[in-house]
Amino acid sequence: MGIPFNILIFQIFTGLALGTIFILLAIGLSLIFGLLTVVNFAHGAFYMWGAYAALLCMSCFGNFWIGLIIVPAALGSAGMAVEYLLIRRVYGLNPDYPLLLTFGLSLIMIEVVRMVFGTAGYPFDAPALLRGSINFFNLFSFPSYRIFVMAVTAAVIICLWLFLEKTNVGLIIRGGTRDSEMVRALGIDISKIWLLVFGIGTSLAGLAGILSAPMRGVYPEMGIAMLVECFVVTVVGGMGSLKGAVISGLLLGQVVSLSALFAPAMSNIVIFIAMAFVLLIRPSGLFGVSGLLE
Amino acid sequence: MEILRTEKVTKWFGGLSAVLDVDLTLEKHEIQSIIGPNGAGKSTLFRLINGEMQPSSGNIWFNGEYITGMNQASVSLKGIAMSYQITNIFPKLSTFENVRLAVQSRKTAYNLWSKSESDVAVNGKAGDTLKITGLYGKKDVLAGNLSYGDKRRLEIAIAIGSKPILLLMDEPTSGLSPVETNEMVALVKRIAKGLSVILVEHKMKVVMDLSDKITVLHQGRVIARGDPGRIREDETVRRVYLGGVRV
Amino acid sequence: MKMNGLNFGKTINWLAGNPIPLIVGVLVIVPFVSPYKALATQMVILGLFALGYNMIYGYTGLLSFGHAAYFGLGAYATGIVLIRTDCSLLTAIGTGVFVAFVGACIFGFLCLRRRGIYFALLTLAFAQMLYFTANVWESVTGGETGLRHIPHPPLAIPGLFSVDIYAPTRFYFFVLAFAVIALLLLKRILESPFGKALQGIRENEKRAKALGYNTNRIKWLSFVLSGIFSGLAGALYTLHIGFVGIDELYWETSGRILMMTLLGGAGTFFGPFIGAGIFVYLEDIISGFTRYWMIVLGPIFVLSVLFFPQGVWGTVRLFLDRFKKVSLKEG
Repeated sequence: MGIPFNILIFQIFTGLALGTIFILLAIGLSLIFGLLTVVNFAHGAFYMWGAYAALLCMSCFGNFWIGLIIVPAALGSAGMAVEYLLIRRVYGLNPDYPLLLTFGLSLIMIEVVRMVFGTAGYPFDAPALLRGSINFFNLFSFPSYRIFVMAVTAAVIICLWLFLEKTNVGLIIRGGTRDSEMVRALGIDISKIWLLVFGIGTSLAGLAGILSAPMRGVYPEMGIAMLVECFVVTVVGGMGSLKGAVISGLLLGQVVSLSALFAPAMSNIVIFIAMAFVLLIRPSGLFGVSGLLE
Repeated sequence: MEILRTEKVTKWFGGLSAVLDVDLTLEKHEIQSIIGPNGAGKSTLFRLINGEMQPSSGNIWFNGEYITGMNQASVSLKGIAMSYQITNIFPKLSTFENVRLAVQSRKTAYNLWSKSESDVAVNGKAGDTLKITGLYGKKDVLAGNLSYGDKRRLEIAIAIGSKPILLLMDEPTSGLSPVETNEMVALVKRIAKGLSVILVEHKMKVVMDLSDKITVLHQGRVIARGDPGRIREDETVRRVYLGGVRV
Repeated sequence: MKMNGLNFGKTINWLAGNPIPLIVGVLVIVPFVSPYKALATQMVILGLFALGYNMIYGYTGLLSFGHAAYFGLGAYATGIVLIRTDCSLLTAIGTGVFVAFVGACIFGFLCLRRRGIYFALLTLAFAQMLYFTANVWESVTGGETGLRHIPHPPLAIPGLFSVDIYAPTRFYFFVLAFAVIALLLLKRILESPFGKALQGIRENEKRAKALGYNTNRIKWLSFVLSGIFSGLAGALYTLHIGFVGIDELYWETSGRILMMTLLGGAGTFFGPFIGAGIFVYLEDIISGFTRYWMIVLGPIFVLSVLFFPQGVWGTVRLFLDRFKKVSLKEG
């Protein structure tokens, strides 16, 4: 094909880095949908807010690492507030309402950022420590920052997995029913779990935001295209499935990255064809629970 | 004349047999009740007959036709209607419109031009159905705003509005007071003229009062069948179901 | 006072049963009170789009997130045919409607194989496919730049007459004519057995199916009709703006029409035009103060979903119903 091997490998690595951002976002979307049956249309907006929060952290503290802790915490809290004040009011009503609410919310969130920070966007530098690249077997160099992102994501996935598999709360979340009689019978306040799940979801979105800032910059519309791509990942992987989000996130990262190399124009069309295909043939995706909302 | 026959109808859900080898026959104009403890498979059997679910095995004949495997809409057009235990109406439409929709279902839905208002035949039948079920006075009330008892009656009205040959009634007296139950029994007697009915009920007085024949289900199987007097005396039935219930 | 109450009640009743004269009356006056006529034209065009969307969302109860596809297909088809051929105005519009119709037939069939959120995501997927296809297929669609310099043929029947309709007032009434025809058609459809079946499906699809209605086919037909109206709006939009861009196909367009329909009153007759009016005029007014008009519209929309899901006209109707009951009692 005439494409040098090292360039191919480089694209694959880039796809991995991109994939990790998809994974973080898709896990959040998937969790929120899996337990609350809510399609969080504001997920992209939380991601974008994460990036802007990182910007604020940088200007306040001048330190990226502090941002890594503050941003997910802040976005998680914001998410919990949204769940408590808005989403909770419409559980059990027309299933379109959460989608409409979060859609409206996303519009507000984007506009607020435009008002406060301007419409142009900002560049964002990676922290000094991670600015170089690492040399792989003298074949190619890969930015250290992206390796860092992959490492962080891997760590997050492991922590989440442990949380879901090994804790009681995780068991309840995996049970996947918003209002489980069994949970009530155990005397657990289910509404706290709703808060937690939504908060985890949005904090992951925020983490994705701060992590992606040095790679893609920070601008108000950054969540818009991301959101739709996220839907593709979640649908293909399976709504409500952690494993699905990971695998299909990596897949999509590769599709986007490699098609940039081979057939750039087609890549966007292809991913939506894939999404439609999955929805038509097997809406539960690769690993999702079937029959959920068909 | 036989109007409905099921032959060894079986439905598996995973490893569980909800309905197992059920043979059932219904004569024309007969009212037959199906009784049995909760989980005996009565609702599942109904859903197999009306096409909502497909049997895992077995055959169903209706009015001389082999209807096994037909989907719900097709079965409905053959003349089987069901009234539901959990009220299943069109809440934001008027009571009249609820029934009119049922009557209209027998004509083509793809008419985009005529005004339904001017369809005298359909509207007339809808009005008559409302009168039979005692709801004519409330025809303009939004169905969602009716009292529970009236909703149960509307439930029946919708079912008979489609002029069925066979009516499946899933616990029509569910949630009704004793007075309302008696009214419902009278209603069922009124509408059963010219119809064949299969009734699922828990209230034994209602069952004994209405039924020409009773089939008893337990854990998906038929354990007894016969006229009310015989069923009342049947040892197996008493043990499994009626035990302790005064009839 | 009693006599006045009775007459007013009767008038309200008549209006509720015959909404078209009132709405046409209002729409005839609008361009003359509007700050500028193009705004009124935009309102009617978007109202027509919302009318199409209302058919599938308000009357059938299906939330589509990809209706930009049919608007865009109508817009692009009309634009392309005007640029590349020497066709008449009505042919161009007809082509736009036809292409949108075909799109709705195909995509509708595919999307309706699923329900609920999967249906919504399918509609989004297909709309996005169209968007990126338009982006890539530069030779036909002009890609990111879009189609410019679209000719404006007169409204003509060769040998009979030729009218230049593009002066603002004339164009408004040209568009209004289509809107009125659409409204009349819609009214007819809603009162027909099909329209009644549609609303039954919205209220309780399971029961409708149990009654023998082929709900999937009926939903599909509703989807196709909705696509036709949306495509017509797209075609008129191209004529109005003189330009077609890929934004018309982007999902934000789908989101906007959803908001308009909901705000105006989903499932009501007046709702779509009221929603379009609110949107268009609010945007105009607020843009006078600040460019960030979504800061006003966003919260209005969210509050509407929470507290007034029936929209402006739905709320007015509730109010009128109560009034009707009172006046009937008094009469």
